[in-house]
Amino acid sequence: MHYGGPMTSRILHVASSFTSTPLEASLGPALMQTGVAEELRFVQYDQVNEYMLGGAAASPDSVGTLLLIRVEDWLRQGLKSRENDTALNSWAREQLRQRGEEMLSHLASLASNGKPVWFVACPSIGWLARKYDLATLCATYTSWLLARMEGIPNITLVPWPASTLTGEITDPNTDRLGQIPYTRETFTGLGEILGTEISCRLWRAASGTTPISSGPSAGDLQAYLANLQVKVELTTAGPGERDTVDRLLRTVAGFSLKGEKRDISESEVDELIASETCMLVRVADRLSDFGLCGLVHFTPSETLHVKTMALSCRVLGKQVEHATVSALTEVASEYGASKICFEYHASGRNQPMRTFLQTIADRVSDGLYVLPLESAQQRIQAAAINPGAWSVSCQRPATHSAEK
Amino acid sequence: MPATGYSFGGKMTNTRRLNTQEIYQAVSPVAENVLSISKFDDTVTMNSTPTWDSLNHIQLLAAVERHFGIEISEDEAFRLTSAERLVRYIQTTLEKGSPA
Repeated sequence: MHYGGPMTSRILHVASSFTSTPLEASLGPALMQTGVAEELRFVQYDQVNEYMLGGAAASPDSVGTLLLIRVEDWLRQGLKSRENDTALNSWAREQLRQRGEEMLSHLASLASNGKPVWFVACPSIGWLARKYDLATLCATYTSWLLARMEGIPNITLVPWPASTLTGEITDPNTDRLGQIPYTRETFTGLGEILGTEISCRLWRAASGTTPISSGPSAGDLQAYLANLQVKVELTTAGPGERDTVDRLLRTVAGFSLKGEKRDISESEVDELIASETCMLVRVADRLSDFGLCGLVHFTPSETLHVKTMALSCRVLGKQVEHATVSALTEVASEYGASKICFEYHASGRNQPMRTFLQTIADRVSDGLYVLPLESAQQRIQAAAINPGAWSVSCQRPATHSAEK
Repeated sequence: MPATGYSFGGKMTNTRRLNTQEIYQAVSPVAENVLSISKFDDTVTMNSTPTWDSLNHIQLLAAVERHFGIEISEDEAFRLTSAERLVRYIQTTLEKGSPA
């Protein structure tokens, strides 16, 4: 959201381990009033690592980063498959330690770009911590994380304002349904407090009383991606995956050729599955198993016409999009196609897809992007941050099968 | 048999089936408040209501959970994109939870 003059924006990035956009209503005006920032830009909660290592935080128009971390969120994905795991506690302990170490490393990299970072350790008193009785363990690792952060330059540790926030702090319903941990009142209060803190710090820096040290960015996003070990698997969607196909078609808005189709009919979903050319994208990396979080539907001929391609924004920024297209080139090759055509339809929210297509394919018209197979891998490699730092596999029925 | 009424704003205690109109009557004030709209009826959909964005969708479902004392599964949450679907879902869920 932009709050000030249109010509030069000063952007505060907000990255958090949960959905923090409700902060905008109070944090935005607080920063605008003092004139220290004119725009808030929120980072998707699954892309915090990529953000910390990427270039956006160091851009000239960035005034800094507000980072809110609730360590119980690091356990969310893994806990889904560990409902009755007797070793839950030791698994959680190891996860928290690993994710914490990684956070510290990335945080040092983020801070080294010279822009200030405000870090808020949010208490793990949410739905997950309560359900699995992990609040104490999470509190221990929150303290450990804070202790390890002391001394990292450019980072301001902002204490959780427990005494200022009144009433019901958490909202277990929105936390479970949408990873929105707090009530509106809490977000409002938190935004006001953080707005004041950030404004004061930036004013002091501007007046020269608090120097901000500067160093070159570590620039180790490439190394991070290599270490992430992203695995992308394409499998043909069958009747058993109908609900997943339905969900993805209705909800994926940003990285989608046609945008979200909230009102798609049941029969259209059935037809898509019956076509046997609808493939689901399963994504996992060293840290998480994201499960089925994308789909591709195509019609094969001399050209592979991709009618639908959608990837959940949770897995973007890890080169999953590059890996998926790379896998598609194998599918196209099996069919003897010489090119892949992406049929794009602007929905108002699917600009990220167009931006991606522009990096790998030739634009024939607003609605058609063509990727010649002979140069496809070269183009994908050129567009990627760390080419090849992923592995892909395709598992398709009948005679079509490819493995890389 | 004990009470025949329905207690809103808490856990489900009804022993009587609610009809669609009664569900609308109960859910409308909640939805109108969350979505900042003047009327929540069967014509309202996520597509036709600018304030019904993804964030308010979660707020709406959470408010419905609290109000009716039900739990909406994460898998179902994304499907409830119109007043009609939401009301039908509430009705079905309440019926499943009612004593036989």
